[in-house]
Amino acid sequence: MSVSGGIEYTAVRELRGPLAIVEGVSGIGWDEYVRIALASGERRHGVVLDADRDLAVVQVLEGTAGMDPAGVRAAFSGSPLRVPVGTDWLGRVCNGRGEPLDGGPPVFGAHDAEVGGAPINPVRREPPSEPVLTGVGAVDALTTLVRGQKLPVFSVAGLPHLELAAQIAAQATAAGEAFSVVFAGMGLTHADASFVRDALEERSAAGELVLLLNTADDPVIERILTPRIALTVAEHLAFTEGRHVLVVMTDMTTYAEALREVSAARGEIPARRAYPGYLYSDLASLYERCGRIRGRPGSVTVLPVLTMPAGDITHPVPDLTGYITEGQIVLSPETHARGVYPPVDALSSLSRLMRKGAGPGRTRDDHLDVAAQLLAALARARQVRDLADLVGQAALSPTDRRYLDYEEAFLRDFAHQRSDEPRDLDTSLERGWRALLTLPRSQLSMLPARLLDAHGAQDLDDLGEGTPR
Amino acid sequence: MTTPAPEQTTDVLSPVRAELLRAAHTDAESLRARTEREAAALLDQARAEARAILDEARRQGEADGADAARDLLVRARREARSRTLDARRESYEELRRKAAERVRALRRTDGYASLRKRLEHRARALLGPDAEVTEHADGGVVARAPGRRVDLSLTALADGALDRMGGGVRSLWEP
Amino acid sequence: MTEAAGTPRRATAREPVSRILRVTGPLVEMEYVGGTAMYDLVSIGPAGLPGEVVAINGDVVTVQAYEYTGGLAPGQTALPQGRPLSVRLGPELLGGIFDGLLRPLSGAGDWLLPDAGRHAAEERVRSFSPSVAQGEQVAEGEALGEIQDAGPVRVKVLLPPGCGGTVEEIAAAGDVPSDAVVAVVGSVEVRVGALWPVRQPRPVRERVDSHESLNTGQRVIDLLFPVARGSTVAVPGGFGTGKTMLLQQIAKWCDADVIVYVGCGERGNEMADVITELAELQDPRTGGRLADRTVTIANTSNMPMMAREASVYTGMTVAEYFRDMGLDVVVIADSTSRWAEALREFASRTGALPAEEGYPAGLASAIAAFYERAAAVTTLGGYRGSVTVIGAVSPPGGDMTEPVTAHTERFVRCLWTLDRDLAYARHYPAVSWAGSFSRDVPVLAAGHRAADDPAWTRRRDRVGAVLAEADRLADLVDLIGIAALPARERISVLAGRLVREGVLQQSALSEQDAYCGPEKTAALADAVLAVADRCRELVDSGVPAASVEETDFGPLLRAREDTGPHDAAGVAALRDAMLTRLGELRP
Repeated sequence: MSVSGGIEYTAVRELRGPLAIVEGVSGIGWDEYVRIALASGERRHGVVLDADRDLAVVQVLEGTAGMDPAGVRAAFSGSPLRVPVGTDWLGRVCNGRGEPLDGGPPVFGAHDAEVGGAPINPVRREPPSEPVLTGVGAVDALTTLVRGQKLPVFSVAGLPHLELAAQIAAQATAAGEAFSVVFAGMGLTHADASFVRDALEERSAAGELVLLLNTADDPVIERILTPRIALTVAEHLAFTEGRHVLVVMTDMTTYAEALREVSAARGEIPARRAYPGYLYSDLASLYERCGRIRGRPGSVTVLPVLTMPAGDITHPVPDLTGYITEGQIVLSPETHARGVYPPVDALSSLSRLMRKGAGPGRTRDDHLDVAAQLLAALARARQVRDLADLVGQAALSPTDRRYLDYEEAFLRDFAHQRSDEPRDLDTSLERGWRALLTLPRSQLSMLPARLLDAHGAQDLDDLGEGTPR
Repeated sequence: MTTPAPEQTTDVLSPVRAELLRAAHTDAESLRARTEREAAALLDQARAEARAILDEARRQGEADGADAARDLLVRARREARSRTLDARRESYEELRRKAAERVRALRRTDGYASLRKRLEHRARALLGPDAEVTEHADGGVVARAPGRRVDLSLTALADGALDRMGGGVRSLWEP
Repeated sequence: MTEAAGTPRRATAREPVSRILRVTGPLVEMEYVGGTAMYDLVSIGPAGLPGEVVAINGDVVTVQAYEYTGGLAPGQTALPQGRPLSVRLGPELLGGIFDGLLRPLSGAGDWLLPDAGRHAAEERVRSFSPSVAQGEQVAEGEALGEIQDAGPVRVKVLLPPGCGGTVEEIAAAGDVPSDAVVAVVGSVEVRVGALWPVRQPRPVRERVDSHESLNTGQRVIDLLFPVARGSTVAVPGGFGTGKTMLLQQIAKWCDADVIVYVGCGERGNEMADVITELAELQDPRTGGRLADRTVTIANTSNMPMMAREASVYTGMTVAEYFRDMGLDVVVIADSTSRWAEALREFASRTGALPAEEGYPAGLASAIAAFYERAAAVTTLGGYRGSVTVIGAVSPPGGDMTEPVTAHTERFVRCLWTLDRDLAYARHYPAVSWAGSFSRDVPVLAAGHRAADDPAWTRRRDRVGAVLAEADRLADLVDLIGIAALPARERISVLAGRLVREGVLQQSALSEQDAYCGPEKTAALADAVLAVADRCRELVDSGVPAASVEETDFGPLLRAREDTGPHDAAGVAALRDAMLTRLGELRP
């Protein structure tokens, strides 16, 4: 029951695509949430797209299939969709609309909040400055995730991005401070959904996880609500309950496709690749809900995962995401083919806020130097490998041959880890050092002499010949 | 803006809500205790089995043991968790049932006639004086006007009242 | 600050009350009730959301709301305000942070909720000092006095356009509230703050040619693609090319009097960073805080899209207000593509016929009109002032042929293209020397010739030539290896590297290098050219190219970081040391 006093409207003038046009309404606002009952007793849900005099154009989330205008009753809720918020969500598994999948009662909360959220006042934002450690060595060491940051994972079909997302969701911590994860799956297959549930079981049982799962056979339009509910729950856990919250959203490409479908149904003029012109603003309205706020505890960190159709980084979804987010973690089919997990393309990946969240006083004094040196050496190793393909390994200089060893050590010893292995930052950095020490000291110009001495860096002659492969 | 509902006429549960919740709480308490016991036993058993698998694996020098043991524990934890949640849902549904019964019982009280009058009055206030008002089988009224309808049956009123309780329902399973 | 209660309205007799008929997203239809004109401001619904009239058709008025309209319903009231969307201009803008409608953000809550409770402008007492006396004749645009406590910027109180006559009353020197009347001229009351409609350019006496360059402190720009005061620049660059970083550097260090920074649809955390940094940094020219010469308009990507459309005009109006005091103002808009997207979104909702990629057919003229508000001028009051516009462009997928980039290129005088490959190679600022241009070069060259730096043109040409030659050879080197090139060409490759690393690259994080004075820019370029010349002489005299290449050029390459921002002598000393070292090479 609501401010409309419980009036249900029964005159449906038209059904077209996902739209139902209800007539004879009064006082119905735009974007209001609607509960629809069919003659059969079935319940559906909708949103007001157009409030025109005494007509309300309602988009039915579950679609209009099987709907007979006779017997339809639409109850308008008096406001845009609101969900209960609070710690009751922790440990729960729900569908993309926030209804329980775990056999429990509905999620209750002492308060509720509009799922659309409101923009954080830029003046009230606190610049992010502390790390979230994911327990994934390549990410923590090279593209440190910072509390309040939005850092997407760019992947392509067939790569283990879901494994990586689940691993990060299962392992991430914030230096012992209260930490929670909200995982929003959109358009997942049932196999993927059950994989995610298994992988995150422990965190869920510990009351640190909210799992929202919209599966591929769920209504497409519901996908548009899933990340909004996730972020609304996360904002409350963070800024009211004082937790550091990581929101993992996967797959944003599926989300954007849902948005495109809805836009087409509304008859909107399409922009690039038939995505709606407001795709940028829409994605921003999700990603920008991360951050920290002056004078409030907690933080919201967002990790969207998206697959680049045909591996195309200029596709609107990765492209617009890249314009909004603060860096990206790119997964590479080549690295995957070499049997390395996670197959991070370290040279294309970047965390723009890393400088603020890592290094002295944040993680470890040598962190930024080691990361810079690992990447510089990897760039050189890449060139050497290209050269070796052209002229043969034998023609390489002794130093260049060491770079081939370095790349191998980087991938096998430093980057590679098991998908159920939480690796602490110290271990990751030490593995980084171990890879670097395959190179002669003269090649490690980004590291201070003191540290090189301490780690026993050697000159080329002392290293011996690089192992030809 | 639409007219806000005058809550006092429709919130037929408000005088008995606390009492209802208390009664439900007692029932839920025993259910909760039982579920917790079962869940704990389930986990203990799983831990013991996991330990056995691990020992066996170690004896045979197998690497798979750890995975198997972990799977076992994950399954047990999920099972335990799902029983707890089931128990909560049951107590919640029980509360709804009791509330509905309680409200339907109003029909047999002396005050029903005046309640029904108030409901009919409210229905006409919402839909206009020409609304067609009929008695609902479970008590209360349903009113219809062209294109609009108001369900003021006692069952619907009880549902609405419980929905408004929101977070209060949690006290059922919070010790 | 958008509107103040008691502002005069055009139709005075009655306050018309209209009803909402229809709400679809940001578009609201209401009844026509008289006293409503195109582009007038409307206060919509119970929360009084601001909106602007965009169409009047019979008895239906279409209003574009500047806030989220969720819950707004037909039947609710809407109040036409009888005047266009206007902003209140005044000294309190300096150092302030505002949304797209120039409402202060500092006083707003943690979240920006769509209600009307946000335009309570801070009313401050100002120290006023008159510059005219009672009985004097003054004309429009002339100063009546100055505000003494506006920080490093000399804020004048001007007689508004269209006024003029005898000074009937003038406030005595001393403190006045910022909304108080400080003078009466020809029976018009003049206040410190003034309302101005954002879509209407402020009038000037005439536009003038500018021969003076805006020093940005960024070498690649000042040396190769300089911009004149009052000119226009577009900065296209895909994501990750360091666009925002470059614009922030310019906002911090360029030698303008006032900076208007319009964050248009960009990242919230980045905006927070700009705000924090500006408050901490010192202005090297005045010693004051950089924030005190800056007006920040923050309309992040998740703030209402329609206010984004207004924000660039708001920023431009603020710039013109300071320009009219005889100041040099720079407007930095990051990013104009987000503004264009708001135009597209609006066009699509109103059912306008789409042209390229869904953009409205009027896109090109809208972009042209925006950049055309930049100019060096003689103000109505006879002062010299300028507004320079620097607009970022974010081409989707890095596609430079997309409509916004393509049109913008046609209308601007300078283009600083950011190159993904340079950024990938960590070459910052990643301004491509092959893909950028400055049409201001001829006038600025004339200016330099006449004034400070007669060698300016020759230096620029030589640096350009070195880079072009090195680029040409780079492809060859990739194919056949450096060793296969003739000695002179190997030196050309070397010279290219020296120019790129020793002159063009600039570290935003280094205290000495973040900003570079014109004399140091000249000295660095001269030093590298002199060293390259010496290297060429050496190989000509028989020194093997390899031994020249193996020389440690470190001291020369580090000169940009090892000397102060204006230390041309220090650079010259390092150059001499380098030349001496090269002199030791023998055939």
